[in-house]
Amino acid sequence: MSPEPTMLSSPALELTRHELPNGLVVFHQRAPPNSVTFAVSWVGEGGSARDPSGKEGTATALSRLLNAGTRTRSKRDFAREIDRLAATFAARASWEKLEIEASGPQDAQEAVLSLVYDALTQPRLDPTELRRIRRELREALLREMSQPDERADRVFLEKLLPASHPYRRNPLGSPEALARLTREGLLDFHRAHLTPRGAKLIVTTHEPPATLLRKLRGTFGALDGGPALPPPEVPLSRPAHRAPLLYVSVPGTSQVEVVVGGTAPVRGHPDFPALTLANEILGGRSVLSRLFQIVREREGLAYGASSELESLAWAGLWTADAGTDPKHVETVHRLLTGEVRRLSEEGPSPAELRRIRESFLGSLPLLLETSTQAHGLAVEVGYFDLPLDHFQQWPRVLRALRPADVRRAAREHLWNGGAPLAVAVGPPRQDRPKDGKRP
Amino acid sequence: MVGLHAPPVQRRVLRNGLEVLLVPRPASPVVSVWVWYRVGSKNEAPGTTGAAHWLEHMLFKGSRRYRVGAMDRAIVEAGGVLNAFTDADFTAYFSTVPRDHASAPLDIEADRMTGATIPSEEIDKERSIVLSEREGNENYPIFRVEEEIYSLAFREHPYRWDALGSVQDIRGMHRDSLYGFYRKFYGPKNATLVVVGGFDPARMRREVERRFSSVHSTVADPTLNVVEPEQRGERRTTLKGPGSTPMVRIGWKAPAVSDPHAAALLMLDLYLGGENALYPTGGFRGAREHPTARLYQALVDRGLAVRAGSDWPSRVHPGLFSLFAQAAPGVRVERLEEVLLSESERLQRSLLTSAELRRLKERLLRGASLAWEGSTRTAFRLGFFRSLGSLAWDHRIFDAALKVRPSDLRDAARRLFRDGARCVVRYEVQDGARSGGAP
Repeated sequence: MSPEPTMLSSPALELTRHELPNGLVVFHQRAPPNSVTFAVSWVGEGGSARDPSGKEGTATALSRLLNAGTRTRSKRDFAREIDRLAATFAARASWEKLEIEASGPQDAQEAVLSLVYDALTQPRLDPTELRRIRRELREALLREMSQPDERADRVFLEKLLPASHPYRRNPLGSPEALARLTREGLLDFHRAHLTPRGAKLIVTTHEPPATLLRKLRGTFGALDGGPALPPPEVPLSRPAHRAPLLYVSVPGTSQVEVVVGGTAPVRGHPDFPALTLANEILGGRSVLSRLFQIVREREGLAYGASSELESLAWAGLWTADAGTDPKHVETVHRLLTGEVRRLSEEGPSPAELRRIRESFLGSLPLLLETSTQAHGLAVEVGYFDLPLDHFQQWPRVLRALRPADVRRAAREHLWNGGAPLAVAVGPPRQDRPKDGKRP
Repeated sequence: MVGLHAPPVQRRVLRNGLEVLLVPRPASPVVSVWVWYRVGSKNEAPGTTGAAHWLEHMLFKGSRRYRVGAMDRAIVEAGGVLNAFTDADFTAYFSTVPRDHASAPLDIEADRMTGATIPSEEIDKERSIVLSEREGNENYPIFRVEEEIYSLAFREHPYRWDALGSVQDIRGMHRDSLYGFYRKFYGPKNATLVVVGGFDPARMRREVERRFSSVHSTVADPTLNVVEPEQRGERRTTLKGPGSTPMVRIGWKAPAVSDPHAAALLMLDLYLGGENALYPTGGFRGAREHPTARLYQALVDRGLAVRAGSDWPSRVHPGLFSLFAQAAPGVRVERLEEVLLSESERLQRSLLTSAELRRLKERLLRGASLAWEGSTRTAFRLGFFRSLGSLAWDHRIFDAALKVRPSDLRDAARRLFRDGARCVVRYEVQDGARSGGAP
């Protein structure tokens, strides 16, 4: 029997919350003792779900422009400064949020925080850079059409979600919408969304909270608060699962990407813990999971087979996928769907539940060695407004769940009244030779 | 703080020839255990390409004390992760576990070093999985280009095939080939055990001695004496396949990592492409953007490419230094090739400015300060350099890089970028590769 994990009360998860007068919420997490780095994340409004109609791609373009210089530093100078500090810097937009994440040696903290502040408040938004980003997004759209894994994800969302759903729109935009992006439009979006109210600043550092806050009050804390935006309307998704497997062909590819899945509860939903374990059992817990054991180990049909439950605030999603030979598509589809059904009808055995749960909990110490690893946990607590001791309480919460709880969560949220939506993308089916061998 | 601060390593060699490297980190919550075999796809023979990689898979399929699947369970149920990878020059197996569970990976590695069972029925099941791994890679144009350029550049040396092996050889592989490879090369004399993390060193030394000292086998020396004949004239080819936009990769034969000019090549790689795997330097994480790199400026900033870079993988034997670029939509691949070649010529004619070189060194210096953070990364780094030849090479290359002069880089470019030793692979997007749809 494995000993129960003890590291969850580690000082690495010492998290405190502080609200500044302008509405910005600061989370301070003490850096793990071994770590020589610090990490910071700004997580706020400005995700692609807020893209103005007809200008899809705005949030993605803006986030990329935040990497490309400030009023006082050209793109090249900005990059040189990051190089000089040995820092990492990444601004990116997802459906719900725009996030700037940076890290660096602990002794460069002040300089890196200053870069994040400058990028957030004084982006250069150079028209030349906007043209470059338009080119890159057009190429990304072409890649999304030609790459089976990316195309499968896109088709899956388009079939699953109604047109007005915030996750339905493509964060990359469209060629027409990208052509409409202007510097002025991006500035408007920046002014409306990249404000402190409702945003979170999460810092994992060796510096004590009081010292950090004193410094932040004169910078991030001095920004105008801005409006608080309500979450967008999320329409109910129609039950797309009754459709048969949808096959999309991309000539010249070698392998078929099969994706099944559906909508799921949000991160704060009471069923999320049970569904987390259901996902781990299904395909989340790597080699221990059912999909890996059945699709790869027992049947030998795919190099990888896994599932994912996305942590989201407005609406949830889950998927299971595997890449396989074209002649095995139907079998893989049947196995993926069959395991979802079996989990929702029979649930896990007590032994399976225990094995997966303790593995899941036992893996948390692996995330507590360096600042950048531990930072991910703090960002999750901060973004979803989870209790500060969420990860300390996680073992108690998960160990209280019984097989019947996991079965019910799987039945209500994964099976949800019928087989999940299924999409496959790969070589044209007529390319398949009769003997099943590769051309 | 700034500099390459390698941790103190406790090194010893057991009587059976196993080299052991220990780095205790008392505050770390994890232990990372690696075994590196100085054996890879370079030790395969034509007709059995992919044997080293397939064997790596089979080492998870049971040994004297572990039945099929038991190794995975022992590590993952304890919350750990385990995996392995095969390179041309080496094969590495690793587990990172919560510190209370360090004995499990040690026991597994000791047992499978000579006691893997490699059952025939598991080989047959694994065949389709290895093929699936390969086919999944084939979906990415970048894999096809890389595989092609090595097969074009090398005619005698085994670097000419990818570690995954050819489809034909994977289909025809027998147990005799895999087991023969295992018996020939796997044993303590060809291996290095690296353990980094939260353990007591005296106790760990005893544990290692207890588990590994009884492991014996007579193994062949994996050192290879194949010398690739000098290339006389340019070689080129054009591939067609699915993708977004065309790309080109140009490769030149380059010295091994043991070469006295390795430091100059490292700096050329950093200057042209912006990164080198040996020395992490931060940057725009995830974005793969290097605005300070020469090729980025020459191609991406000028609107010709969406990505551009260079690649000099550290190799035991002379390998390839390559430049690559992917076209922006509407740009022809010929134009990319012209610019890449003109950049290679420019480096042979003109010297870097002192400011350019200073920035490059500054970046290297700062980045190095983070090279040893985290037990898994540290264990990887130690094993990697040892497998390439010597732990000392890390400091030797790093120190030499800090002393490089502009003329050293120009001379290195003159030795490297010779017209007659050039290989060019162009990748064109095949007609209809993006236009597929549902049948």
